[in-house]
Order: sequence, then structure tokens, then C-alpha cells
Amino acid sequence: MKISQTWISDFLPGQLPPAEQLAEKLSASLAEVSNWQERNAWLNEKIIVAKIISLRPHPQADHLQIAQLSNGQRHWQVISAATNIRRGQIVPLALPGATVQTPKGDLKTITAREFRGQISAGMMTSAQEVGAGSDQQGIWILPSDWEKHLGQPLIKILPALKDVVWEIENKALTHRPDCFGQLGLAREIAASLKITMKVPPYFQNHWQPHPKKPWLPLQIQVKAGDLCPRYAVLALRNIKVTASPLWLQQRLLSVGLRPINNIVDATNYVMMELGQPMHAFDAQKLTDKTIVVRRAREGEIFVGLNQRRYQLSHDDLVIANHGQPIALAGIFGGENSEIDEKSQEIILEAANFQKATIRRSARRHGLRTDASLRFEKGLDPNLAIPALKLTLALIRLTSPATIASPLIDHYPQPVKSKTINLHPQFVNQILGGKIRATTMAAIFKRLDLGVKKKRGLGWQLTIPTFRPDLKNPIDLVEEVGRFYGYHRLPLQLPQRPLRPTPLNRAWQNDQQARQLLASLGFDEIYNYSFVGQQLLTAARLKPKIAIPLRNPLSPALAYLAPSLVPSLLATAKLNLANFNQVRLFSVAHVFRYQANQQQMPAQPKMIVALLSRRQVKTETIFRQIKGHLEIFWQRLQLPPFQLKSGTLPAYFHPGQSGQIFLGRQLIGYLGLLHPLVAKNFNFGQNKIALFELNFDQLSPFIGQGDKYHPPYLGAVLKIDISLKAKNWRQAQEKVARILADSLLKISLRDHFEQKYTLHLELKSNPKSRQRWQKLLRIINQQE
Amino acid sequence: MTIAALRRQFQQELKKVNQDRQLEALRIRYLGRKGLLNRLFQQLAKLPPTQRRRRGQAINQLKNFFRQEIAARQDQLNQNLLTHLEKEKIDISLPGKKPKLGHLHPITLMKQEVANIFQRMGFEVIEAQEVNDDYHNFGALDIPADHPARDLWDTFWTREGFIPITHTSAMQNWIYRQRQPPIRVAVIGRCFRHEATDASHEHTFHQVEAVYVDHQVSVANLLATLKAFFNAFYHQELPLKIRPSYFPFVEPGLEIAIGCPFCHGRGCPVCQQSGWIEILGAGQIHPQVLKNGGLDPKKYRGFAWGLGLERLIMLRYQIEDIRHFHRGDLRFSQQFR
Repeated sequence: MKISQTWISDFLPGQLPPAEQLAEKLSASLAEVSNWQERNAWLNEKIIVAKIISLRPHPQADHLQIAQLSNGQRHWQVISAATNIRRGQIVPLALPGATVQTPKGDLKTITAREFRGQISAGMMTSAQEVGAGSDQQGIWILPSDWEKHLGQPLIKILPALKDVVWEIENKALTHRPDCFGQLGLAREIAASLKITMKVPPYFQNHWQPHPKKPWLPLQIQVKAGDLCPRYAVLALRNIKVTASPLWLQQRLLSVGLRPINNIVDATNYVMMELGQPMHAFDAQKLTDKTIVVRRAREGEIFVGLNQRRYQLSHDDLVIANHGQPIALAGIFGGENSEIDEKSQEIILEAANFQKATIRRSARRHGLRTDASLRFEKGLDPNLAIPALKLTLALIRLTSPATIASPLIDHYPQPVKSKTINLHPQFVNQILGGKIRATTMAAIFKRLDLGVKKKRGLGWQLTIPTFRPDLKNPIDLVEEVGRFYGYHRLPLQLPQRPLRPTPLNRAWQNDQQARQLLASLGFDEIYNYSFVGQQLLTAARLKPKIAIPLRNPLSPALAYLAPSLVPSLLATAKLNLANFNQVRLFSVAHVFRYQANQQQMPAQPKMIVALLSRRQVKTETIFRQIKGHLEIFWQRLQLPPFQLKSGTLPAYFHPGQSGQIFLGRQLIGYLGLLHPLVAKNFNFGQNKIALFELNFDQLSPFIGQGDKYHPPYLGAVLKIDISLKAKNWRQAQEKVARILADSLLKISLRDHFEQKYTLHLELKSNPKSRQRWQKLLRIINQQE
Repeated sequence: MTIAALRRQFQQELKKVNQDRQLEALRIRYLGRKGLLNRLFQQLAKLPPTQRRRRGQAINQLKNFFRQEIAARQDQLNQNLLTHLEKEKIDISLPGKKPKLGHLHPITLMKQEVANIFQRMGFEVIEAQEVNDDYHNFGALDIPADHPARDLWDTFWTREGFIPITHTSAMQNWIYRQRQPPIRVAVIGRCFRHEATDASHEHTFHQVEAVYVDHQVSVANLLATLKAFFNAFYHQELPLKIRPSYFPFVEPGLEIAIGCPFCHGRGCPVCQQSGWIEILGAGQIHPQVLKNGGLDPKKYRGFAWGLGLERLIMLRYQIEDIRHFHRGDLRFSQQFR
């Protein structure tokens, strides 16, 4: 929302503080002023209003003319190539020292120059060159009644050319429909500056206009009263569509609107002043003079001012005439009733629509207009009549405009002011301050709230209908806070007992696991929680297991990730362009359907760690990743895991991977990447091994696995032994079964196919030696 | 063997010794428990007592002689070694061979740092549920469907109507229902906004939110608490700048800027010469929100405030592009530890 200094000055007496100070004030009391600037800061007083008193061709150049300009006393000779100038016109004259902008927006300073032997003492300018709009076609012809301003600087006559404009982001004012107009913003500024605002004379809700006959047979039928609390119309004739007054055009430009013609500009001006969107229909384009407010029919077609077709539904509200929609209510006008240069009879509409309907409709059709922006916030229906009065007054500045119908006002349930009881003590309790009651009362009065003292109960405050955001006592606390100044509150830390807060074990475990993986040489990766079909398929996962987004940003982000692996593989591939090998891990949630897809998705936290190596034996890299899992397990003091073969996720190599069990619980997978997946990701010479764990299942066991064993202080026997076994586990079991508690340590020295060499550490005592002999006997028998 | 012969043999062998190892072997051979000298001592017992004494003295002399000779030779060897060390010079300017350590992601590091301060302040740290329903993300926070405030959060939806949370406030209702006041919780979580990405916008980001509910909780408490947080975070006293702001679930709603910790408010590139850094949204929890959470707003009040972790990191390290965080490029993330 833009705030125009010249505009708000209509309502604020006296001199406003400097722009920067006012920005600071507004930021502290209303919402952050995101920026402020002076329009055409470069424009100076060297551009004056002058009259063309003679024109003759340049003797040496066909396309140039020599003009004599006058301020009433002095004359200047100016050379011009413009074709739209005539004797007697009033134009802007830039004298030496004036700054103008080029069509590209660069600035240049005017000097006296010679054009083919003729001196030009200055330059006549276009509107664009003096920052008065976008028109670059020819010289800006000023109104003929500006004769009285001859010789005066342009910026004195049109101060809005150098308007100061502050801007607050719309979303910061979401709750304040009153601040979507200059009047409401002026009220805020008055309260902030502690001055009394001048309320404009049209601001009374009662009005009885006097139409001249013959009346237009205007009728309205509100068929969807629930969606349209108020609908007021007035017909005008003797309309002459022309340009708006220059000051009005400049104000519209200040707040970011493009001037169009006197009718459209008037409705826009009213919207920008009061926040009440207005609409004007060309009455002669209507089939009959009955206007219907109704829900759209399913599939009904509406053609907007932009000539686009919109297919409507029963949830849209339309303004219709003779069965045809002529406007999408509160959002957009229709092409079939648009005002044009030939319009002579118009119907002005000032209405109020139910906010949710407008919002839904505008979003559905992608038509978020200045009007819908305001209606969706919940406008005060009592603005309609002041808005109509102001529109009429503005149109009459440039056009005769006879009232051609009585005021027709459908307003079955007028909205009245509400009251809220408030105790000053409550305000101080919430704010934590010691603000005096009189200070609070003064703030309320400046905001146009009625303040009535109630004995022992504080105040009864009357809330004006333009402040729908003030609903509860707590809302009034904010009004005190922002105008009193939050920075004036004494800072005080809350008191609390010294009881320790509960410890979140899951959080601690999470941090510990990440730290551990990093210390094992793995780099942590954060990938998006979204994934695309392409990555899923590359990892041999079926997209149908993934939960699709209704509104993805791109196909690559179309699903909630059902696994961390596809994205982590992509990250590995990305980094292998810069590194010989990578070790990566990720800890994040994955998302999967419950048995019933309408239920909240399951979202377990997973850990995936992967490592890559070139030119490595399968067994080596397998033992490397398994070793990492083992040390991870030990350090987190987890009870031992078992690796079993069984069903695996499709990205694991079926013969080189296993399921990780903790007790009876399947808790993850470990192994090598499936060769097809490796191919899909173009890993080439790089072998990838990884493990994947369900951290939610794992976390409760962290710290549970460790028992204390007294160290064995006796002598230790260190022996190697070779034996045949089906696999390493069986080899261990064979030895362990016989050596029983003599065995202190067992490890694999080496193996060739199914012959394993074990390194053993035994308690050195007679019993151990007996067992050892027994073991040798058995092995010799078997081989 | 005679004493004299043994002495000669020792002297000859000693001459050949030029390494510590050889000298030690020599020592053991002559002076060890089963050494040649001890063998001579053992033979003493067989001699008649008259000779025993003289011979014993002679062997002891020989033993002392061996000891002195060995010590002297050891000195010599040490001396040799010292001269030799001079020649063993290496290029100490060669680079070290680093063991390969991994790195935690900067967001994890910032989570830890922030959680640590909250825990010191007595807050319980919890993590946000990343996908939630409309009620928790909006409804419970007093943002019904078709409320224009929904524009403040561009939202992703799953086909079934669930929401990758737009803010950590989606946890508030759950927190109120799980606990009895006094409630002091810090929520850390990943949030999502449906918006196009560029150097300063990311659809996925991380927030931390403080929630405090008790009998008497005021705006003054809120301001003091978050000031204490930032003083701890930046290790310095920082002023606050307070703006009114609008979020439907707080009333009053505030936007807080802190004095720029990098230039002490003098103006620098980090604060864009303003001396201030806009850092968080805050406010008193709306009574309706407490009520939705099963708490009696007549008895309890609270405050909440939330801030973005990426922003804290970007400010500290002057990171130019928010997209680095989720790009997975190790050349970015290995710089943090």
C-alpha cells in the first residue's frame, strides 16, 4: 500500500514531519515502512508554465518549428520538432538549469542551444519528460484555464509531481481493511502524531440525492443476500468521458495507478481514498435496467475487461443483466458493460460482498485485483454511501453528470458499532507496563473510538464499524501498545522455578548420531523433502509409493520423498565430479502412506550413510561399510545387530546386502548398490555401499547395549588357527562353542574362499589349554 | 676360562660393537643373569675356601670393568648418534597428511547452537512434525480457510490435503495439549513455502520457535526473554527495535530487529548500513489459540517467537545464496565445522 503525502495532507492539518521521521513513526505504530521516496526528486523550479504565442517554420530545417513562448511578460524562442503544438496552447517550458528525464529514464540538464543557426532558449517537454506519466507522444498540452498560472513553476501548480510516497507491504495490513485507503492511513498518522484529523464532509452515511426526470427505470434484485450485505447504485446521465483533472491524475500515479478517463479515475480515486472499490457500468450497453446480484450458474461464461473468458461455478457471485453476467462481483468488470469514450449514461455501484466468497473466487480465477484485495479483508458496509457521494463529486469536476435515478440501496441489516469493555489494569498486565489510564484513553480517542467510563469496570469502548479487526479486549491492548511504544516497556525476565525441564532423549540421540557419523568421516547432506519421478525411477522405486503434492513447484519436486536414498545418490554423483571419493550421510524424515491413504502420512526419521570407492573389491567395500555400521553401533551403545538376508529395497544389490535386525525388529538395510541403479546414476568406476536405518526405531535402544565387564588381568594366550566353515559366522560359532569362556577375543586374520584364519586371545590357564586341544582335535578330524 | 682370557675376549668383542642393539646383546652375554660372569661366580663354589676369596675379588673387579667399558661405549654410541642426527634432516615444510573427518551441515551446527542456548534458558527442545494437517498448521492458530492471512504463507498441499508445514507454529496446539503450564518449549523444524527460489528465497528452510505459557506472562517478559537469547547468541548486549506486526495467532504481534552485532549499529554491509537486523516475528499468544489447545485463556497467557536458522547462518558468514544449503555441494558444506 502506497501513502501519498499530498493526498493525506487533505486530512491532516499543519506541516507533516520530514519523510524519514514519518516513516519511522509509521513503522513503530502501524507496520514497517518498506521504503519511501520523493517522486521526481530531480524536478526543479526551472520548468515553468508558458504559452505559445507564435509558431513559424525553421528556415533551414523542414521538420523544426520556431516557437515564441511567453510567461505574460518575457518571451523565449524555442526550437521544436513536435507536431502537436498550436499557437495559444499552454505547455511546460524547461529553461536552462532545468532537469528532465529522457524516454529511457536518464536525466539531462537543459541548456540554451543552437539549432541550424537559430537559438533555442529552452525546451517544451512531454509529460514523460517531467515525470507526469508515461506519455511521450508530443508536447504535454496543459489545460487552457492554466493561463492564470503562466510563468509559475510547474511543481508549484502540481505539487503531486514531487509527492513523497511511503510504502507498506500489503500483507502487513492484512487485518486492516481501513488502511487500504489514504483516509484510514491518515487516521493512523494523526494518532501517531497526536493531531486531530479533519474528517471529510462526505463522510456521513445518510444521503438523499435529488434525481432529475426522466428517471432511468433502474431496479436491483439481490438474490444472494448472504453473499452481498449491501448493494447501492445510482444512475447518472449527461456524462462526458474525458481526461481527469491533472492533480487527480498525479495522485493516482503517486499511489501506483494509471490514469484512464474521468469516470474510471473517479472510481479508482475513491477506492484509493476510502478503500471502497467502486464500479461504473455503461447504462446504455445494458439490455434492460434491472441489475441482479446472484450466484453464477454452473459453467456460465463471463468475459472480463481483459477480453478473457472465465468459466464460472455456483460458488462465484455475479452482477447480471438480462441473464448475462456484467461483472464478477467485487473482482472484475465485464467487457459488455465497460465505460468507453462514448459513454453518456452510467450506473455507479458501491457494494459490499462477503469476504470469503470474493477471496475464493479471485483465487480460483487467478484474478487478484485491487477490488478483490479490499473486499476479501472484510470491508465496512457503511463506506458505500460516502463513496458514492465522493465519486459523484469527482465526476462533476469534469462532466455535467445529472442524477438520473433515486439512490437504490439494498442494505437490509445495517452494521452498527459494537462496544468492548476494557479495564486499564488488564492492558498493563498484558503489556507488563505501568501506563496511565488517561494515556490509554487519549490513544483510543485519536483512533475514533468512543470512550465511556464505567464505574469500577474501566471503560466501555465504542468501536467504529471501519475497524472490524477490533473484536476482543486483547485487540485494544495492541492499540495501546503500538501507540504508547513497546520500547518504553520495562524489560523483565519471567520468573520460573529451578526445576529442570524434561530432557528430549530423541533430540539428544539425533545430535549424537550425526556427530558420530561426521567423526567417522561422513559429510552431512541436507536434501529436499521433495523428489521427482525421475530420481525415484532411477533408484528403482515405484512413484506410486510416494505421496504426490497437489501443487508441486516442478516435476523434480513432485512427491514427498519416500526414501532418502535417491536424493543422496544424486548428491553423491554431483560431488564425484569434484572429489575422488565421497562419504555422505543424511538424517531426515521420509513420507509414506498409511494403510488408509486419507490418514496422516507416516513420517519416520531415517539415517542413510553411503561411501564410494574406485577400483575396490566388492568384499573390501562391503566390509568397510559394515565396519562403519559396527563402530556406529558400538559407540551409540546399542545392543548387537544381526545381518540377515531377506527382502531388500530395490536399490540394494540382492546378493551383497542384508537386513539389519535389532532383536526381532527389522531396523534397516546394509549393502552394495544395485548395479542397475549404479548404471542409472552413471556411477561408472565408483562402487557405492550404504546403510539405511530407521532412526525412530533405533533411538530408544541407544545407550541400552553396554554392560560392564571386569578386565581380565591374567596372562593371555594369542594364537592363530585355520579352519573350514560355510561362512565367517559359522567359523566363529565353531570356535566359540568349544572355547566358551576361555575366549577373550576373536577376529578374522584372513580368509581364502571357505578357509578362515582366526586370531584368538585366550585366558592362559589349564582349562583353556584343555579346550584348545579339544578344538584342534575336532578341526583335524573334520579336515 | 681364565679371567684374563675373558677380559681379552670382552675387549675384542666390544671393539666390534657400533650399535645400541649389539651393545645390549654384549651386556646380556657378559653381565646377564645367565651371563659369562655369573657362570664364573657359580664356579666359585667348587673352589677350596682359601682360593675362593681371591678369585671372587678378581671376578668382581672384572664385573666393574665390564660395566665401565659398556657405559663408556654407550656414551660413545650416543655421541655418534647425535652427530648422525644432523644428517637426518627432513623437509618439515612438507604438508601434513590429514585424517579424513566428516562435516556436520551448517544447519545442524546452528540447530545445536540455538538448542543449546534454549536449554540453558530452561526450554525443552522438540522437533516439529514435518507434514501436518490443515487444523494444526492453520485452524488451531485461528486462521480459518479463506482467511486473507493465509496469503502470508504460500502453502504446499498433498493430494489428500495434508500440509508440509509452513511454520513451526504448527506444533503449538500439540504442545498445549501435551503439557501443563508452565510451558517452556523450543521447537526446531523444517518448514516449506510454495514459492519460487532465488538467491534469497528457498521453498525449504528451518525455523526455531520459542513458546512460553504461564499464569502471568507479559510483553515485557517476551521482550526480555528474546533479548536474553540474542545476547547469549551474539555474546554482546544488543538493543531491540520493536515494530507492530500482524500474525493471526498472536495479539499483539511484533516484529523485532536487533542492533547489528557485526558493526555495533554503526552500519555495515550485513545490516545494509541501517545498523539494524530484522530477525524475528513475535507476540503474545492469542487467547483463542490457547483455548484451542485446551488451556483456559483467563488463567494462562503466553508468548511465542520464531526465527529462521538459515538467516542466522547467512548473516554470520555473509552467505550470498540461500540455495547452497540444500544443493548438497561439499565445496559449500565442508567449510563449516
